[in-house]
Amino acid sequence: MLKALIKFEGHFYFKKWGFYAMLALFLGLGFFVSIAANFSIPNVYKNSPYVLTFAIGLFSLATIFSVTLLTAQSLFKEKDSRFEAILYATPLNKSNFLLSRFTAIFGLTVFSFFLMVIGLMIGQQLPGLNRTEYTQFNAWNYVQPFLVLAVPNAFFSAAVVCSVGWLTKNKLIVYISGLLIYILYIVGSLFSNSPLMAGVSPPSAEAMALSAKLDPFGLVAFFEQTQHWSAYERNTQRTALTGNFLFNRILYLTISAFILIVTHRLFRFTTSSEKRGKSKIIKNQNIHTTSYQPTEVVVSTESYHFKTFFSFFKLDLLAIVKSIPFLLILVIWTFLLGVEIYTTIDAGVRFPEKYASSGLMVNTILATFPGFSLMVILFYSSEMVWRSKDTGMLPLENSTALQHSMVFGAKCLSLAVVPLALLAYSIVIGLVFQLAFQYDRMEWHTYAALFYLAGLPAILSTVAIISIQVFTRHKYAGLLSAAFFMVLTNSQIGRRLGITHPLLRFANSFTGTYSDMNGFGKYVDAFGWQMLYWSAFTIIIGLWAGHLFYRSHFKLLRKSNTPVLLTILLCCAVLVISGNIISQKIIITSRNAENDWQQTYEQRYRPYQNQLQPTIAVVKTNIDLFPESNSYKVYGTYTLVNKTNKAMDTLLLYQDKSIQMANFKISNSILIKTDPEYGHVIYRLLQPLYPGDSMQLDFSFKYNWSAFNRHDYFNAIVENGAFMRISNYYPRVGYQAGQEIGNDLERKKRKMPAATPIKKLEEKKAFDYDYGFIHFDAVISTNPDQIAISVGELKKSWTLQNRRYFHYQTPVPIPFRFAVSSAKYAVQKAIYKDISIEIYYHPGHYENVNILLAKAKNTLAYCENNFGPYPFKTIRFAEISGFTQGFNATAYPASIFMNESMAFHTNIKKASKEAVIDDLASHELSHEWWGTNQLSPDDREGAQLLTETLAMYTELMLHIQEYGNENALDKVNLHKDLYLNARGFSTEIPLIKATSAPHLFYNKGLVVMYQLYLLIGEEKINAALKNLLQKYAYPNAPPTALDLLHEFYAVCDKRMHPQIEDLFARIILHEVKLDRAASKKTPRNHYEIRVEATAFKYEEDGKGNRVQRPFSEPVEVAVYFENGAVEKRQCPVVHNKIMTVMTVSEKPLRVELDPKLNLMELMIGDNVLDLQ
Amino acid sequence: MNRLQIKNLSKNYSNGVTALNNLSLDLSNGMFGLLGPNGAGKSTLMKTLAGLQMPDSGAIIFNEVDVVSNPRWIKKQLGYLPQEFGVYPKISASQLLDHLAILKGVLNKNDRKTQISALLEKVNLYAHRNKEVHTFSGGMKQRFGVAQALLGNPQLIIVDEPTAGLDPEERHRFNNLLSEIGEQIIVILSTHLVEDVRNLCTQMGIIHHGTLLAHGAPDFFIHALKDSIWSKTVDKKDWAPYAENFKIISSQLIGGKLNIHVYSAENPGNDFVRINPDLEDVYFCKLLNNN
Repeated sequence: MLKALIKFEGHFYFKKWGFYAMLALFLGLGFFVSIAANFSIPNVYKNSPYVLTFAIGLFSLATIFSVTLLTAQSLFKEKDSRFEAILYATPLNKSNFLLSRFTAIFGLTVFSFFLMVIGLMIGQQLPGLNRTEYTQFNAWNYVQPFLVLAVPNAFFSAAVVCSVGWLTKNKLIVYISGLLIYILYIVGSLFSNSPLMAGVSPPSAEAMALSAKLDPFGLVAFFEQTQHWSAYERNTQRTALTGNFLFNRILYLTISAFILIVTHRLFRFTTSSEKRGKSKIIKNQNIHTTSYQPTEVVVSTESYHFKTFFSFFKLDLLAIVKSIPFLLILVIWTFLLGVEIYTTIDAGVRFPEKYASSGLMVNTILATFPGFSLMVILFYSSEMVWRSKDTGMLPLENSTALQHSMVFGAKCLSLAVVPLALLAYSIVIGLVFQLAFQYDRMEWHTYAALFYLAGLPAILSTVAIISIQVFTRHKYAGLLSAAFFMVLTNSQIGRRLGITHPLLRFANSFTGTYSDMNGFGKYVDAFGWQMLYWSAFTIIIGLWAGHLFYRSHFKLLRKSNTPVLLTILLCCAVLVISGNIISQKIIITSRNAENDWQQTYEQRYRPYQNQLQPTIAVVKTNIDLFPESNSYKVYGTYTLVNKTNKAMDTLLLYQDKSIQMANFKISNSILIKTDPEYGHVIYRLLQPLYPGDSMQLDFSFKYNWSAFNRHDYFNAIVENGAFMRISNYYPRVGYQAGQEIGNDLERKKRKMPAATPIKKLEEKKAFDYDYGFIHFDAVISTNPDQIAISVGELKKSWTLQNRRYFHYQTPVPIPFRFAVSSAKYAVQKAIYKDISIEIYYHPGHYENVNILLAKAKNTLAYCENNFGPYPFKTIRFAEISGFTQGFNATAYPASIFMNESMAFHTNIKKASKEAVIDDLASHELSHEWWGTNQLSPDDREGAQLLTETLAMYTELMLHIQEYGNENALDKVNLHKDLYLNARGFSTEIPLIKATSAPHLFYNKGLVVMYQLYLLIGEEKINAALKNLLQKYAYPNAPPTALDLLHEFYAVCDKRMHPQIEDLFARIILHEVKLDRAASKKTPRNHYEIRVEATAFKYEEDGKGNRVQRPFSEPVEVAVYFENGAVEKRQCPVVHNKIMTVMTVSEKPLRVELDPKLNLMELMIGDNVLDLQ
Repeated sequence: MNRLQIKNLSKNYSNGVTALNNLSLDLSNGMFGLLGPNGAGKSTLMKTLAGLQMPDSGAIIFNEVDVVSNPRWIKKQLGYLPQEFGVYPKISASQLLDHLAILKGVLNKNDRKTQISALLEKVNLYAHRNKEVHTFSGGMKQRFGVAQALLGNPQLIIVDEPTAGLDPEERHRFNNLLSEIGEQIIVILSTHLVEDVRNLCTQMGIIHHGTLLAHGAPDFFIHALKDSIWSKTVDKKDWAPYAENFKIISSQLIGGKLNIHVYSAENPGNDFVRINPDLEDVYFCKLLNNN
C-alpha cells in the first residue's frame, strides 16, 4: 500500500513540467556554483573539503525553496481539484497517507539537491579550468557535506513546511512558513561569524557556541569548527561530526522527527471546513423597505468607470489587508527590519553605539525594503490577477458593462498600496526606534524621500509584475516569469550574469546612501532620469497589458483609443530621450576592461621604469572647489629638481585617467608624445637638466563626476563634506608601478612577466635616499559658506567675489601626499602648550567634540613626552561626508580627516569599552610621528610595521592609560580574534615582512606590541622608539622593520632577544590546555591546589604547515579567590606539561592559564577551570 | 415590450464540438424555458447571449440593437445567473451586492442602498445581509444569485440551471421568485427539469446538439400529443422486448416496477392505457424523434 502510494505521488510530479524545470534549475545551479561562485581563498583549493562544505552547506538553503514549492503543489492538489471529500472518504490509512506524501516531498527535494551536487562535481571537472586551483578529485568530499548538511536541512525544512501545510490547510501559510525558516537562518547567521555577514564584528565564543548549537542549518556550527583552520587544514580535513556540529545535527533531526510525530497526531482526515457562520438563529426581522424596483443605470460616463475602478480597488485591498498572510508579513517585517536597525545602531562589540538618527533609519530601510517588498508583491500578484477567475466571480462581473482596463488599473493600484503601506509602516518602526533610543531629531523630509526612492520603484515593479502575469495568461507560469524577470533585473544574481546597465535594470530602488552632511547627493538626479525612463516603460507595458487583460476575458475587437495611443507615443518619446541621456552619461567598465588597461599601460610604459626623472620639490597650487556642481579646477607650478648624478633630457609625465588631462607648460621643451588614454605625455628638454639643476612645470586641470556613474571615494567632490586625496590626481613624474596588475593569477593568465617586485626587507638601503618630499603651498577657494581644509599651516583666509579663500603652507617638507576637504563646518578650538587643536565638524554632530579635544591633548602630551616634539603649530580634525568610504580616519601633516559615519556621531556615553574615539584620535594623531612626515619608511616589506603597528601601539598605551590593563585585555583579545580569523584566508608571512595584509600589521601588530609590552615594559619600548625616531626621521635615511627590531634589542637584555624574534619574525602559535585543577583543604586550614596542564608551541610556515617547537617560556597560572583576590605564578613547562602544586590560605574559586594573554593561542576556552 | 431576436447563431469549439448550429429564436416579455439534455448547447447559448462569448456566425438583436458588435448595450440591461459562480471570500452579501450594483451602473449610493435592501428582502436574505456569502448554503447562494441578477434595470434575465442542487422547498421558493419577475421582462430559464418549465414558462424551446428542435407554448405541444401517449407498468426484466416492439419515449421506476410510456397514434394493445400527455412526454418525444 505504502509503496503504491509513494509511486503514485512520484507520478504526480513527473507529469509536471515545472518539476523538470526545478531539476534542471538545480543541475544548472551546480554548474553555476562551480563556475561563477567565488569562494577563492588563497592556498585553499576550489574543490577542497572546506570550500565544498561551505558551498553545499550554503546552497542547501535552496532546499527551503524546493520544499515549499513541492509542498504547496502536492498538499493542496486534492483541495485544488476538489477531490478531498472523495479521498478522505476512502479507507486510506492516515500514517500511510502522510508518510507517502512526506517521503515523496523529502525524497524529491534531496534528489534535486543531489543533482546540484552532481552539477558542481561535473562543473569542476570541465576542461579549461586552471587545474592548479584544484586538488585531487575525491567524491566523498562532495557526498559527505551533502549527507551531513543538505540532507538533514532538507529533512528539517520538509518537516516544518509539510506540518504547517497539513495543520493549517492553507497554501499561503505554507509559503510564509518557507519564508520564516529562511528568516530563522538569517537570524542565526547574524550571531555567527559567518563570512556571509562580512563586516560584523566577531562574536564572543559563548555566543558563537550557542548559535552553533541552534542554527537550524548547521552552518554556524561549521564556521565555528573551522574558524581558526589553516589553509592546510581547509584543504585536507572534512567537517568532523563532533562537538557542537554533532549536537546541532542531532538536535535538528530530533526536532524534525518530533514535529512530524506531533503533526501525525493532530492531523485529521477532514475537508478543510470553510467556517460556517455562527449558527445563531436569525429571526426574520420586521423591516419596512420599499419593494423591489428596477433602478436606472448609467454605464457610459466617466463617473461609472471611476466607481467601478474604486469598487474593485476597495475589494482587492480589503482582500489583502484582511488576509492572515498580511498580518504575518507585518510581523516578519517588524522583526526583520527591527533586527536590522538594532544591529546597525548597536554596531557590534568593536564600535560604539550609533545615534538612532533618521538618516540611519532611512539607510537601513533603503537597504532592506526593496527585496522584501518585491517578494510581497510577487506573493500577492498572482492571487490578485486571477482573483475573479479563481473565486468564480468572473461570470457575474463579466455580464456587466464594466471596462476591463479599469479592473486592471484597480488591481495595479490596490497591489501598489501594499508596498507603500509597508513603507509607511517601516517609517513608523524607524520613528519608534528613534524614540526608544531617545534621539528625537526627526527629519521628516528624509523619511518622506523614501516614497520616491523606494516607493516609486515598488509601484513600477507592481505594474510590471501584474503585466507579466497578464502576458503569460497562466497563473503559475506568470508568477515564475515575473519572479525570474525581477531576479534578473533587480538582484545581485542578475548583476553577476552581466545585467548591469541601468537601462536593463528594471526600476531599481535608489542605491545610494543618506549622509547627514550631504544628504542623498547628486545621485537623486541620476535616479530621477532612470525613474523617468522606467516610468515611461512601465506605462507602455501597463497599457498593453491592460489591453490584453481585456482580451483575455473577452475576445472582442476594441476600437482604437486615441488618448491611449497618444500616451503610448508620448511615453515612447520619453523612453527614447531619457534612455539616450542615460546611456550617454553612463560609463560601463568591466573588470576585464580595467585589467586590459593595466596590461597595456604596463606594456607601453614599463620600459621607462628605469629612466631617470627629476623629483618634484615644490608644489605651488590653486585649487578652486565648486561643490554644488561636483567639480574643481586646479592650477599649479612644480619645481622639478634633478637629484641624480646624470643629466636628463626626457620628461615623462603621468596623470590619473579619471582626470581630463592637464595642460602642461614647460619652457624650452618639445612635446613628443601624448597618450591621454593611458595618462602619459613625454617631453624632450631642449636644454638637458643637469644634476642639481631645477626647472618649472606649469599645469592646469579640472575634474568633475556625474551621478550616473559611481563617484571615486577618494575624489569625492560633493555638495557638503567633500574630501579629496587630491595629490593622487596631480601630475606625477615617471612610470607608475602602482598601476600594474597585482593579482599573480591574472598576470599568469595574461602571460605577463612578474610585476615590479616589492623591495625585500633585507635589501640594502640606497646610499643617498631621495624622500621625494615637497614644499607645499596652496590657495584653495570654495563656496562662501564653507571652510576648506588642507595640510600644513593656514597662513591666511579671505573672501573675494563671493568665494572664500584659504592659503595653506607647510613649514617643513612633507611627502607628496596632500588632501582637501570642504564643508559647512562648525569650529571649536583649544590650546595645548603652543599647539592649536581645532575641530571642524558638521553642526549636527556636536556630541563628541569635547571628548575629541581632550583625547587630542592626551595624545599630544604622551607623544611629545615619549617620542619627540610635534612638528606643526596646529592639529585639525575635520569631519568629511560618508560619500568617502574606505577609512574611518586618515592622517595628513597637521590635519586628520574623519568620516562622519564614525567617531563624530556615535553614542559613546553608553559604551566605555568601545572607546573608539579615543583610539581613533590617538591612532591618527600618532601618525604625525609614525608615517606622515617624521618617520617615513621607504616602500618595502615591513614598512607598515613602522607606521600602522606603531600607531596601534601608541593607541594601546593611551587606552591603558585611560582605562587600565583589564579593559585593554578585551581590546587585545578582539584584535587577536580578528587576526586569527583572517589569517586562514591567505598565506601568512611574519609580521616583520607584512605588506598588504591589514590583519597582520594592524591586528597581529597590536597583539604583538602588547606582548612585547608585557615582556619588556612601556618605558623600554618608548626609549627604543625615541631612538628610532632620532636616528631615522626625515631628513635622515629611513628605517626598515629590521632597524626597529634592533632598537628593541638594544634596550633589553639579550635573553629576551629570541622571544622578541619569535614575536616579530616568526609565526608562532601556542596551545595550552588546563587538564585538571583540584583543591583540597590541608590540616592547617590552608588549601592545596594541584594544577595539571599541557602546553605546546608551534611555528608555522604560513601555508598551514606547522612544526612543534620547545616550549621554553614559563606560563602564568592565576588563582582567583572568593574575596576577589588573585594570585599569579609563573610555571615552567616541562616536556609540554605543567604540573604545579600551590598552597594558599584563602578558599580558591577558579584557576586560569595565561590570564594576561602572553601567548598567541587559538583556543582560550579551555584555559579555565572552576574548583570544587 | 422587449424583443430578443437570435438569428442563425452558430458556435464551434476548437475541440470540434458543435455547440450551436444555426439556431434562431424570437422572444418577447415573459418566461422562456429552454430545455435540453446535458451538453445540448444550453450554456453556450446563455453565455453567448450574456456577451461572455462570441458566436462564430449569426446575429443577436436586442430591442433593435445588434448585441454582437455592441455587447455593452445588452450588458447594461442584463441580469445573468450562471450555472456556476463563486464569490469573493470574506465579503458580506450586501457588500458584494454593492460591488455588483456599481458594475451594473447604479451609481447613486442611495439608489443602490434602497434597491439592495429591497432585493435582499425579496430573496429573503435580509437577515443574512452581513454574513459572508461564501458561507451561505446552496439555496441561499442561489437566491443571492437571483438578487444580483435583478440589480440595476434588467430587461433580459438569463438563468442557467438555477435549481440544480436545491431541496424541493428551496426550489419552490425560487420558482415563485422567478415567475414574479418574468411578467415585465424577458426571462430565459435554461434547465433540464421539465416540471419547472411547465410551472413557470409561457414559451419554451427544446435544444439538442446545438439545434432548436421545437419552439412554442407548452400547452400547444401537450395538446398536439393528445391521445397518442400510452402507459403500462411492466416488470424490469421485460423491458427489452417492449423496447423492441414499441416506440418507448420514457421509462420510469415507480415502486420498483417499470412504468413505460410509448408514443402511438393508435392503441398499441398489450394492456397499454391511454393517458393524458404531460410536458415530459413532449420533451422525450421531441428528443426521440430527433435521434
